[in-house]
Amino acid sequence: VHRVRNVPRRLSVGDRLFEKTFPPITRTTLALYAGASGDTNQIHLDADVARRAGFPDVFAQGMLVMAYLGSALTDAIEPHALRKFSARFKAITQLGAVLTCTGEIAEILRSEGETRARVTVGARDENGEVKLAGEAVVTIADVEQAP
Amino acid sequence: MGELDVSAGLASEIGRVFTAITAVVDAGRLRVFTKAIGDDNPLFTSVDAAVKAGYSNITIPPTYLFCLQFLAADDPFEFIHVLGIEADRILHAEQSFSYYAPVAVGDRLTFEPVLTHVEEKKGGALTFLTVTTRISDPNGHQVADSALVVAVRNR
Repeated sequence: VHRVRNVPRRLSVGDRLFEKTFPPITRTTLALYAGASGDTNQIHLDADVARRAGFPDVFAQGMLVMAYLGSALTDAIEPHALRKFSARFKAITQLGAVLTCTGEIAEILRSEGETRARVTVGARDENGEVKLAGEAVVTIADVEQAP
Repeated sequence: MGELDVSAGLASEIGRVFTAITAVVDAGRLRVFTKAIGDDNPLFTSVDAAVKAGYSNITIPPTYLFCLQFLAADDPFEFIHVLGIEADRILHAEQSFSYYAPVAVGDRLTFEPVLTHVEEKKGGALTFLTVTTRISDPNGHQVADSALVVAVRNR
């Protein structure tokens, strides 16, 4: 049976679970992410393609922003403690954006025999514009039951 | 197909099954991903750290399931092409994952995508499509599922 360690303990509604700021997004970031992720949509790589589609320039893959959010989340909680992770893409992320990812405890609940925390998560740029908003559900049961 | 017919045509495609994909989690490819996003979490990079934490091998970041499917697919945008949508008319609107079992390097996963929902919004200016993917191990046990929602800009 898989053992879960380092999951959060003694969480309360309203607690800040994480806040992490990432380096500015560059064209190189987008190219590396495209190769790493298999998402080779040219709208994120080729400014000519982006302009033809009506955008001023290339912009970040939505899943790159969600990957940053996931990275911030798994700095705070053990990956296997994650039960659900969802996000809505609210705005395009431009080149140069400095993203900050945050998570706050919204609810403590019992579900499927576990104590879980519902975490409100999001990513915003340096101007405070929300790029991504969603939630994560994490189990906190194993720690609470540990001696 | 005329452009005005796109949404009506798509609603009739609910339940459409796309090509199933099998992928094996590869440590080298995963390292390219963690480097691209600057994630040095030892659970994603070190066998020793991952095994000490109870995993069978290096485990994967929460969104990497999406990448495994894209990397292994002959045509990652198959659903768009099959449904006759131009790539520059779609935007990724939502993404969600549910996790049922840990995934580690060396695991072999099967992805089975299905068109599960079609909805018009903003008076037909946008059509939202949901593709839900069941992700299972070689024994058929479900390890996760994912749902991709794209917004199609209608003209």
